[in-house]
Amino acid sequence: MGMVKVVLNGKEVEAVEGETILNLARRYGIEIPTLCYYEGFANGSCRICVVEVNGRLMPSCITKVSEGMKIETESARAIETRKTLLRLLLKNHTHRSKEEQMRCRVCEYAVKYGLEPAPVMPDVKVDDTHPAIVFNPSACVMCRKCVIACGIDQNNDVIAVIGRGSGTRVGFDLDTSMGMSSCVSCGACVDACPTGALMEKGWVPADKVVETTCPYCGTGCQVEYGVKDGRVVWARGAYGPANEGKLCVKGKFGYHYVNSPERITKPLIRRPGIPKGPLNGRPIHEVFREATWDEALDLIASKIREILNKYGPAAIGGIMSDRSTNESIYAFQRFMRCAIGTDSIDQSATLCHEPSAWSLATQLGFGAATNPIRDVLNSRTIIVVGSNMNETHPVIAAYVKRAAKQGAHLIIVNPIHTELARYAEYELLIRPGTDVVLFSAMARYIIDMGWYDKDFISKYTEGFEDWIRSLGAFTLEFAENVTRIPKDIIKEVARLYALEKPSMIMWTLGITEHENGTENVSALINLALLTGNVGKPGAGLMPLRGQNNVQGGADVGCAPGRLPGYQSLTDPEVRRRFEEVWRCRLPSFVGFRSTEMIDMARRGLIKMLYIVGENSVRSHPDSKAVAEALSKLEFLVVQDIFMTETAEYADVVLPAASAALEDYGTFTNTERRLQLTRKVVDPPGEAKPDWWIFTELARRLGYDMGFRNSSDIMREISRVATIFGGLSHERIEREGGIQWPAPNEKSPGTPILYANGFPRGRAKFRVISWRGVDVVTESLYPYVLIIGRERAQYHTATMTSKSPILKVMWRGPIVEINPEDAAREGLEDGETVKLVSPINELIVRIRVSSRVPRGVLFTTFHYPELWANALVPAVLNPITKTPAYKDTRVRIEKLVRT
Amino acid sequence: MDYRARLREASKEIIERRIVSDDELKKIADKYGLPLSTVKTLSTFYFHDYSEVQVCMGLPCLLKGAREAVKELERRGIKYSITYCLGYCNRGPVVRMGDKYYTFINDEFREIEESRNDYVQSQYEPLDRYITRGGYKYFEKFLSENNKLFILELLVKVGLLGGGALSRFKTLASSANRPKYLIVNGHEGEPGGFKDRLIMERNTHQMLEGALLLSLALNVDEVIIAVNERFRNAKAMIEKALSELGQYLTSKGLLNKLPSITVSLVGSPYIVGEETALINSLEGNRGEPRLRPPDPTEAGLFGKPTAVINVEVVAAVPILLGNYYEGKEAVIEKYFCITGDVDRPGLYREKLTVGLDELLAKAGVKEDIKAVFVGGISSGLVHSSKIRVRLIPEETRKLGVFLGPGVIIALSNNRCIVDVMLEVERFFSHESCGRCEPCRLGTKELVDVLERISAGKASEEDLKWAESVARTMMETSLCGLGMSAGKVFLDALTQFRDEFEEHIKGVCRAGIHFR
Ligand SMILES: Cc1cc2nc3c(=O)[nH]c(=O)nc-3n(C[C@H](O)[C@H](O)[C@H](O)COP(=O)(O)O)c2cc1C
Ligand code: SF4
Ligand code: SF4
Ligand code: SF4
Ligand code: FES
Repeated sequence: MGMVKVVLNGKEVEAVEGETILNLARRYGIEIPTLCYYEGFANGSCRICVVEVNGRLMPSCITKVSEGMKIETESARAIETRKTLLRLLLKNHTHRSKEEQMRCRVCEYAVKYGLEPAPVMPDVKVDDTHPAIVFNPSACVMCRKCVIACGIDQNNDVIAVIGRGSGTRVGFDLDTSMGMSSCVSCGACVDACPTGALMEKGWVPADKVVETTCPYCGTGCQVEYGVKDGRVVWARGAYGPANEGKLCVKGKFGYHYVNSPERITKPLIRRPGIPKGPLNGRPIHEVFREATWDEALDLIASKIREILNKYGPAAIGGIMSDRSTNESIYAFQRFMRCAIGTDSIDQSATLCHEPSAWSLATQLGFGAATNPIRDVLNSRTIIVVGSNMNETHPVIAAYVKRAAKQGAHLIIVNPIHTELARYAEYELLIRPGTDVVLFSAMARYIIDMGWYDKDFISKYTEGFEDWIRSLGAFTLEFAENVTRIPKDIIKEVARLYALEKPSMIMWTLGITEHENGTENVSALINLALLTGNVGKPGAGLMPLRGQNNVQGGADVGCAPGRLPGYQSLTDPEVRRRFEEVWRCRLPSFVGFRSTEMIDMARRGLIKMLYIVGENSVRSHPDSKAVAEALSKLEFLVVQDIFMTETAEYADVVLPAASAALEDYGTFTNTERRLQLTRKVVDPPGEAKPDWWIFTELARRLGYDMGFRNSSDIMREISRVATIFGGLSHERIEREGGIQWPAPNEKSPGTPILYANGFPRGRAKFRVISWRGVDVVTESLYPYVLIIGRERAQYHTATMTSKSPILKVMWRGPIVEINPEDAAREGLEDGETVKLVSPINELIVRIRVSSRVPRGVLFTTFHYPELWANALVPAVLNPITKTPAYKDTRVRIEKLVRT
Repeated sequence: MDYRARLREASKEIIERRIVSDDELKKIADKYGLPLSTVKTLSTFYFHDYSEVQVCMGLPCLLKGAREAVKELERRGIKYSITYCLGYCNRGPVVRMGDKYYTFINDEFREIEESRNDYVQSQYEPLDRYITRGGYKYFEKFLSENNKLFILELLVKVGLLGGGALSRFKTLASSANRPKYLIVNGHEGEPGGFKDRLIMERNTHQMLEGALLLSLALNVDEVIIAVNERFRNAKAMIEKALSELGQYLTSKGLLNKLPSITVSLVGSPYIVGEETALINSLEGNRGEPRLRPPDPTEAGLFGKPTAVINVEVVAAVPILLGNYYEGKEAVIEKYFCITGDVDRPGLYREKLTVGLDELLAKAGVKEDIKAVFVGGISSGLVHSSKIRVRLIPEETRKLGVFLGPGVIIALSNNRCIVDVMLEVERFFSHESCGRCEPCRLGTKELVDVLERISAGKASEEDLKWAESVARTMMETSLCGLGMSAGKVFLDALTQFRDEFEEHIKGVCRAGIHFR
């Protein structure tokens, strides 16, 4: 970057070539008023930021510095002009409340420049039809920030400028009310609005504002929480590298759970003689009694000792929450492995993206996404497969939509119609479970056409010849037959992916939650290797992680056989190093995955489980079997922030602090970026951070991990795992989020993996096979039930259901069915039917919806009223033991009305 | 289709079919898979204040009695809306009813003959006729020139192109960033302007040859002729000419050596004629100006280098090329559209050495002239004492006016300057794209103040305030529209301050406001 010399308010200063005058001034601590300035986008509509440059008035927010500029930010002419502009605004400006006026920068500047602020007129006409937002047009100054926020940054495209001329204003959709509009409540317009014209309902000023990382999905948005009297009163987007100020509805309006009176505030011990299982309306205190930490921890420690004595360490397993921090998860795995001596530890990845992590690690080296999210803006072709990202990862979807609007070829592959398709060039409504066929046929066609990257393949890969030979069956005709996608479209999509490079593939759980999830992922990896779409900007393989720290959970070694930093438990050299640092004997057996542990508990092989922040009864397949397993345990510890359906089976329930808002530590987002979580509020009652609890328990078992705080833990993580070698809390505080690998202090982190080759030497093509559903199953269970998610809810809704705002955005406990299927089954919209799967049956309400194609049903696992996972057989991926949530075969039985 | 292509198609359809109803917009959104807000923002931008019957309130029409036309429509109970510049300014006051254009004379609405398709067809110059008068004579010769940039220099020499534009165009010609575009600006939204429309309708082939020559000089890949949605006849003529031309070029084996030429309708609002707004409109967005830098020659249509050149300028190129090869001096006759208080409003062609006063005399200006808008109401107001100037660039620059649109509107002494400026600012306020604050609110404020002055309710303070608003508009607006709106107000205020002050005291010389 070049430097230029300019004179700023009489002083010669150095400016960075290409920066704006506003930026320069801010760096030198000079304040220039701004209204329409929107970081990252050139707006330049309000002109309030004018400064005098060589005798001319220039808007400083969009004017770039150049050599020899003489800049006067406070010249009489600049100030006079600002005052004229402010007067013009104030003539057309009123507020509805004192709070709204507090939010208004026009009024703030009015006071600063000696003018009257706008009047407060409580009876001005406002639009309060939205559940969470009020729009007061009379306060709007048409700065158009909300239009940028909604239409260019978030790309929700709800707000637009209406009309032309002096009367230009903003409106929603076809100029309807906000509440009636297609608004998805991301809140970006509210966060952007400089006047309070768009504002949260019931907003109050905060005593303090604290920035942390969002507790929800794996995007890793930075959030600022407003705190008043020790409670979170609002949230707004902060400018982090992954979100650049954006949030989704969960981040923006989903903070209420923190303040919830339902939080567990004291350790609870099951009263003697009360059987495990659903409370069924009984108050908690009838089933559990409150205890002190000492009492609860002593009890757990003695139980652990007892079970160890009776059965040995293999009888104990632990499932850790990926909503927790890296530090806590690290402490957990060390505690389990050293203080107890078991390797049966797991995190939620097994239930979601482990097939991605496994295939990526096996074929490329690291089990993680290769590129930064924002890099999709550099892609020319984007394939989004098995992902309803507009709902599950709205902020990531914002970048994908922006890329498409800027001209990238966006291709969507999904059995059900998703909102993102509006932005796509091609929407491939694939038959469920046939992804391998589609991508293998694309590969074969690319090879036939000679479009593959020969250089890349010979330089960086192995196994190419073997793999080619395995593609024989995947002709276009076969693919058309099996996937139901016309072969001309397959050809065109293959052409775009191979020739319009760089090309990126993004996927979510539609790829992984199948029995052949690892094969699906490998099909994508093979395709990327074939075309050289790895290790470059705008290219890459992007699994989108669903939980705030599911990436981190795997990174810090909370998985059987895998020590922190992806080091093998069975490698003698690795064991030696860890045993030295941890001063313990590591387990000598490789443990089990969470899905296996549940099964082993049911079969009486595992006697004790320690479940942290996972609502296993509802999130694991075959809920009946899970319930049976949990009931059979000799001892179950559940540590959570709420009394979940799983905690109802516990012997001891421990109150945890919320990792994102009540603890200090780090989360690793879906792009491998470690970001800080900070203590926004104190944990309620006696709730404690997870790492503290594990440290205390270990001590009671005679094992001192030596952690006084989470920074101690981070220091240890960077010591034992090279990929984190250069990371520390201090550094992340200073520099912001950093993407691993960052092996030393000097390493800036690694935004793009494999830019200089592959850690395992060569990347590997993996030969994969495919087999269809057998005809008997297909005829007995003609429908594929896909269990997914929706925008305003999160997993089993333990957190989101506490927000009164998210609650009104529920789509509800329904199962969507195609209109033709409904007609054929003789069903009406809203009718209750019985869904029968090979393992269970469920009474559900259906909704007729053209979003799903024939033969496919869709529902979510959010609702306590609809335990969809109860229908899912525990059919697991043989490698990662991931359940097939996206591929449950069911039939519909009409209920006979009496 | 990808998103951008769908957006472009939808925008085209909205403009071509003048879609305003929500039901129809919903169908468009469905058809092209676009957000509702996107079709709404386009429709309300292009057809803000739209109805089937529209009365032009452009200054030339106003001076010829547009207010009477409005009264008549109201008397007849016909629903109408106000618009600016329907393109037949010498036949004002003009009223559009559906696709027909009328003038209001002697209490009746009479269809304007020149606006009829059959009439326009009859005026068309077919390719063979164009060739007999010298068309395409030097085309192949030019094609074989190594350095083709000299025709740009010729344009500068005759005053049709500025020096700044020349150097930007040269950079564009040598840029490797492809595809590159030439957009011929056939928008002509300036009230009082009708030359570009006439050139497109009548000298169609000359313009197309000019476009091809320029496209070669500028080394672009695609030529787009952007025609104001209101000039449907012009578009039809261009399409006709393009098909003739296609055959001709094929027969000469030239077609594949030349960039493609297409014609595209763009929305009619005045601001769309601004070059970056024009680009936005062609991309399928609201036709609002873009921030500069970057200049379109660096990043224009779809972010690619783009030259935007006016129809008249383009059409001049074959003539200049002829002059050049025939060793004649490069001279050009500029088109002037003269309206207002003159006996013979219409189109005039003169060398730039002509005096403004001479030109006005030709059009039959009356003795009692008060002032003249030279270059249109967005260029500048010139006091009658200053009209003895020649229209060469050096002298017009001193006057602070820009001749490009060739619009000349004369005001006689019977006109009240306050009244004229009120209508001028109403125009800007109506036609502002609404993007930047100084223009969006400044134009409205000037209208408010002028209304108060007209009503005799203004004070000296108001004048000062209006002056500072106008100055702020001129100095801080994002594009030329807001700047002009401020500038012409200051032109009027500085040259006719006495009349403004008289109004404050309750006196209107012209006897319009207070009698
Ligand atoms: C508000 C505004 C409206 C304009 N309208 C037109 C127009 O209708 N036609 C036109 O040729 N140029 C118009 N222009 C000028 C264009 O921006 C651009 O300069 C012109 O098309 C370039 O052509 P030229 O340099 O060959 O004259 C307008 C400019 C402004 C600021
Ligand atoms: S909340 Fe989000 S989606 Fe809704 S209008 Fe605002 S920016 Fe658009
Ligand atoms: S609502 Fe707020 S952000 Fe939107 S234009 Fe008005 S003042 Fe700006
Ligand atoms: S000056 Fe007027 S027309 Fe130009 S950008 Fe600003 S608001 Fe739009
Ligand atoms: S803040 Fe610079 S123009 Fe608005």
